[in-house]
Amino acid sequence: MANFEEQFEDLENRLSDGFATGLKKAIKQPKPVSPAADEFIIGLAQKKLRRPSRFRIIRWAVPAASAAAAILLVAILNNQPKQALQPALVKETRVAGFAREDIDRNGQVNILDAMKLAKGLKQEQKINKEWDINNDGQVDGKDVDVVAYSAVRLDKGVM
Amino acid sequence: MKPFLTLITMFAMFFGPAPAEVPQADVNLEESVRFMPLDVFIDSSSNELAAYQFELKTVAGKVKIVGVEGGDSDAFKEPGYYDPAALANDRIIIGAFNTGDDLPLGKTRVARIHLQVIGETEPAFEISLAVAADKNENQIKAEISFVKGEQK
Repeated sequence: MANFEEQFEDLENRLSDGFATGLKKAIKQPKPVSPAADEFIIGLAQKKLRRPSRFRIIRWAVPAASAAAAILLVAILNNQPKQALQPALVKETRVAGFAREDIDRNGQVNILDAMKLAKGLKQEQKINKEWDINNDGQVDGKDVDVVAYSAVRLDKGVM
Repeated sequence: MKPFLTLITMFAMFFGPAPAEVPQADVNLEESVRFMPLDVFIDSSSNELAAYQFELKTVAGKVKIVGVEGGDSDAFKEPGYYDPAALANDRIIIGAFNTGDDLPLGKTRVARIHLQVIGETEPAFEISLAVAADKNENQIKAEISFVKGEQK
């Protein structure tokens, strides 16, 4: 069997002139791409493939770090033992060394404090503004309830 | 961006608020459970009883307080004040007062406490009267006692 090159040797001579010209036209070289188009395409590709710039990292780092700090702060506040918040509350609820609920100022909060407050309200005595235990601007039955519930709280310890 | 999201997620996981604890029933299914009322009486003798406060605590057996009722007299018909945390607990402080004139004398039932008794151990209780007073808020001498009701 003749080899590949021998088969097509002098092919041009064996074809008609018209067919050879037509064939040449059909397989003519494509137009070269202009250097400007080349640069434009390469530029686009580089933009797509380029690693994030330092500026872009910084742009995301600031809000991300702020968010992390905020979460950390909230988490720390949430995990604080509740007792740590109590001193402020105790300070608020004491007047002249007595608990605000200690209506009769005998050093103990018990059901008699609630009774004294209730009787004061019932008899429409001059109301002491310090008896507004729940700080709602009024001295009424709700304050009596607050005092009574303070008296029977289990966390007061063994009586 | 991904590393930062991971960082934030890790912060939230490690330092975020702990999930609320799901209350676990500490009742062993093999233990028997029964219910028992406990009536509390105060004897103020010849004084009118206008206010009282007492503490009841379990000293033997496994008990949970499940409810509180008032007493027999009109003055203390409504349940007294108590800490809601006492329910499902084995200790309670109850206090009540009445500013009216229709007050009980002598021995009167002031409260009925409903209990859930778990297990076979017979429960035992200690009760102490913190304060009893007349209508002028003067403390009076009084005796406190309780009676266990029928167990069901």
